[in-house]
Amino acid sequence: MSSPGAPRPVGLLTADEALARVADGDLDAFGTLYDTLSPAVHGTALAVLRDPDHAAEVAQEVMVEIWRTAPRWDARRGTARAWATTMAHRRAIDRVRSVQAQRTRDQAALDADRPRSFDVVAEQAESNLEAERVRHCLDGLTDTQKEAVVLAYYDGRTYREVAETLAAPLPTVKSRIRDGLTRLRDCLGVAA
Amino acid sequence: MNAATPRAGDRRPDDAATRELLGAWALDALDDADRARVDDLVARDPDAAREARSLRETAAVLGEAVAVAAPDAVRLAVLAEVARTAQDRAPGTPSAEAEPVDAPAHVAPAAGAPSSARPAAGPSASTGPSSAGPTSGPASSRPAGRPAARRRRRTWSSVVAALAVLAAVAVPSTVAWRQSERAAEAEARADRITALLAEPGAQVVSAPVTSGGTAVAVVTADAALVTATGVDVPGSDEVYQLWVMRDGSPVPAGTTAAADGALQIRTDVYREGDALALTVEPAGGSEQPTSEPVVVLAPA
Repeated sequence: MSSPGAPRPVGLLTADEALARVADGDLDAFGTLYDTLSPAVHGTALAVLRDPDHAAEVAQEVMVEIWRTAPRWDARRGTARAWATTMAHRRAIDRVRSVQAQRTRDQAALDADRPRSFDVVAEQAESNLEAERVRHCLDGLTDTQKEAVVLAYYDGRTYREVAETLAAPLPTVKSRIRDGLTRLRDCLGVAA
Repeated sequence: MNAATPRAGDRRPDDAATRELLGAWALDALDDADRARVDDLVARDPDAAREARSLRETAAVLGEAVAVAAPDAVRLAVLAEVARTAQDRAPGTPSAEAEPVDAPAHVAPAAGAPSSARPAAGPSASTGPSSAGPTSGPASSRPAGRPAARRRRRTWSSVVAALAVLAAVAVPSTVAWRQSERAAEAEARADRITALLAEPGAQVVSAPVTSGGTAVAVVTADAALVTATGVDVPGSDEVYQLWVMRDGSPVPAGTTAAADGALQIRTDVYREGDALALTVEPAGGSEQPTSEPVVVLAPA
């Protein structure tokens, strides 16, 4: 993973480069990795949990977990960013399903009254380039695809729950999510 | 993956139906049974694995799009926890043991980190600063002002030692600091460390003090905070003096007494690339060091 020639200053490493060094126990690189990845990790948890304290706890858990399991990260299976946000999303969902968090969130869901749009979810996010690209690319999806993807990811619902919420048949929802995500992938230029 | 690892190329009748689930899989929108089906397919089918990976990366962009900086306290808590958390390695690979080093007896090592505190696992041998320092810490007793030596890479164990000491200083347990005056001092010290450590790019370096105890420096591009614990209290007409070592020459950077074996000095004289040294000087401080440094701290 390490690049040939002069080593680059640790602050200029990409997330993948930093993670490869963290896998060797490099604590300076971990500082860089933290600064690069923690906003997405924290933001993902915050979107799903809608509670600052829970989101901060998940961010802490996930960043420590990244440190702990970095030697097992396999670049062939995904980028550092995908690895980190996947972990954050999974942890947030686990927490949503725990009783205590459920109460807080149910109240928030009641307050929200109906499924949130991306713009509502992204309200507290710092405006960034990826937000603009996602907003643009979501507009390329059908309304039903967009709704299913946003509900599944940002609300952390299973596709069965999404089907119930939207009163749509299961196979239809499965396809909407897969087709919607595929269209999103192509629009965002993620390598297939 | 486990004992029943499926082989690449195996086909199952319901593979097409399982593949329909890839989108929901990438968004974590499956229950455990469905997720296991997809995991199994992905392990057998390279084409499905490619699609799975690309959809996961797409989901990651959805996460990045709602990025929000985590509170500063999270950064500090993570760094402190990481310092006492060993990494998972394949059996046989030596892992850096995370063990608080030289926490003074009356200070519990970072008991207060919020939630999920995973105490350093395993029967790790206690590594005192005297054993960890000279053998593995290039930052230890190095002559001051040798830029080439200064650039040598710090070893992992010296960094662990530094952060463990910081964690111990930064999170005093209520039991340990019974006297309110001590508690107030400790809190003030911890606050200053927290503030500096929260700055992106902050670096930590530690080394044993030759006369006993451990010194830790938190440095940024233009400030340094040196904290030492377990140190001798100097004579009544003596003080500890901090020096910024720049191009081999010492620049005076403040004096302090030691209370309860602890001291702390902050300086804004420090610049990236400098080293730090601590000497014992006559009360009032000196223009030039009049004794050998008790510790030299050389950030990477």
